[in-house]
Amino acid sequence: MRRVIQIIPIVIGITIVTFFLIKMCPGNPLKAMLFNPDIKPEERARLERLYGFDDPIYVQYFRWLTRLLKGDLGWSLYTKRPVTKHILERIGPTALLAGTTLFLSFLIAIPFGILSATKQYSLLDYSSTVIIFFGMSLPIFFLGLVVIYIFAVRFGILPTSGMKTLGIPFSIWDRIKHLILPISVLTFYQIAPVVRYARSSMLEVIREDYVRTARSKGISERDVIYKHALRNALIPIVTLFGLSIPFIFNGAFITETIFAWPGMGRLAVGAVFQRDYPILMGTTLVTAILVLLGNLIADILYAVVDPRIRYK
Amino acid sequence: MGNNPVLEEIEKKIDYTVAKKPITLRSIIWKRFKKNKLAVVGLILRASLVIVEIFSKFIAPYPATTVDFANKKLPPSKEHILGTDELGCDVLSRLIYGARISLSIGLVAVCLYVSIGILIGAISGFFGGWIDAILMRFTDVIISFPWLVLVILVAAILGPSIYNVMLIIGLTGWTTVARLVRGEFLKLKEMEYTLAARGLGANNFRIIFTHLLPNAFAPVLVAATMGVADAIIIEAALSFLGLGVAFPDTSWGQMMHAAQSLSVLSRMPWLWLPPGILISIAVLCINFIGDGLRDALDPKLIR
Repeated sequence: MRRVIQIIPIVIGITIVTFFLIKMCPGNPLKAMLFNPDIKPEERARLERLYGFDDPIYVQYFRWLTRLLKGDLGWSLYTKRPVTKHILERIGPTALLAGTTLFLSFLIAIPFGILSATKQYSLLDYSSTVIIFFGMSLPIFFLGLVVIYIFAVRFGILPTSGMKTLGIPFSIWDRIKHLILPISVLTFYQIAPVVRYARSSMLEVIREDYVRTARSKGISERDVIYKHALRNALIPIVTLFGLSIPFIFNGAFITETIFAWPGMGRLAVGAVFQRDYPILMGTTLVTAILVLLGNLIADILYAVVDPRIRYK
Repeated sequence: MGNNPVLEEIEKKIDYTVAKKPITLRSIIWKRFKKNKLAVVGLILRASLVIVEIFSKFIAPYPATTVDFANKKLPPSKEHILGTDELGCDVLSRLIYGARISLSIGLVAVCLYVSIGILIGAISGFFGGWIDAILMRFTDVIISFPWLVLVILVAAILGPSIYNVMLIIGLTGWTTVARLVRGEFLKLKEMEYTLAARGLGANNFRIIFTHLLPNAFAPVLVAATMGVADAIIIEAALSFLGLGVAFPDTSWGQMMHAAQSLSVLSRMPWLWLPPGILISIAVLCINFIGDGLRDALDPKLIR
């Protein structure tokens, strides 16, 4: 409960930072009128008063905040539609991408990490180290381009971009075909930190006293690893689930741009080029709050799974 | 005694070089670093890239930005080993000049954010109380933004240029270092030597800079090394999206920007494959070095 209360000042901080960053962006719709000879200075001043641009900045902030609490993020300057609508449209595809990646990467990475810890210095351990290093070092957009080049351009097996083939009705198989490339690229990146984390967590547990006790009692090595050590090693991994969210967002933003995936990342990157600040503000705010929620869930899960942790 | 032939004989046989070389902390660290083969390979490759950066003017066969429309979009040939781009610039020359910008952006940006991080972390950890609370909440706020979102936002404010990229990464990347330094300081300020220094009348400034900071240095150095690798990737990603380094300045990420169009991607792989490979190698090297440093600097292993 205390964790939930602690989050409030951070949320306020996020809104303040976002608001002032957007205010610092060059240009606003009224400045554009400066160069329009049809609009007289008096007219401009009247509009400024109407929209509240001449108020002190903190008044503007609070006005913005109250609208925000009502769920109103403003209107896109480009499409003239509410920002909330834009984001709601785009959040689904991003969630699909991020969710599948999260699921797949944990499914692959945890056994990999555990095994390479139990067989430290084996071939498997070395190969997982290599994967970690490559996952850390290859720029995600480069790998994306390479897989597009190989699978879409050279062999033509998979589509290069988008969510569906134009002109044919929706089918699951078509959606999966479009998902394969972006998801495998994103998953590759997500695997590296999880393997690393799982490995070091397992290594730590294996050295604990109770594991030695279990061994000395004559329990078979398999039972020691899978019944005693594994469960405790999985505890810190639970938190990684929540902490992965910002990481996934970073990856998804770039992946969406490369694969023309109509998600939040593409919305935000496109908004930068169109100078569509309300959209940019909306996506920034929403992603930051999702990250915060992820951290909160991670903390709560940790306390639930590990009885030693108690938040007072 | 000086003319005793036997003693002189012995004197000659003593190998003073061993005894004269004191075992310093630095030599221990270097010795342990050398044991990590990958780290040494990384260091050698990285050093050779530095040489390329310094002598880029002499190595590059053509100037980086000579526009030559007669010879545009040429595939690799004898005159242009890696071909030419859409403006007729020689790809190999641009790669060589690009090395300088790509790699120096990483270095400058990290220096910037390590300084900010140390400052905030040191103040927060040393003084504690409400200063600590405010600074750490602020850090929490910045951490809540996925870095790419924050970086894109700041890039939109500042506009694309080399110096802005350095500034953007510098202004957004300090959180990890700040938390690290704060954690170390919280631990170190309870140490007895801190108390001793205070007893001797040292002021806060002196305690922070001569007693605490050097002892918090190792983890910061490792974080900074890995940070350079991240900064190179961020620069490349930004420039790739068209928000970072812009023509006529050249960086590896900027060279890959062209591959956003499908025709370049599919028909002119010589434009985007080499810079991509070079970014990967450079970052891989730095990560290897960072990994070697982490093992070498780990105080638990020092004997």
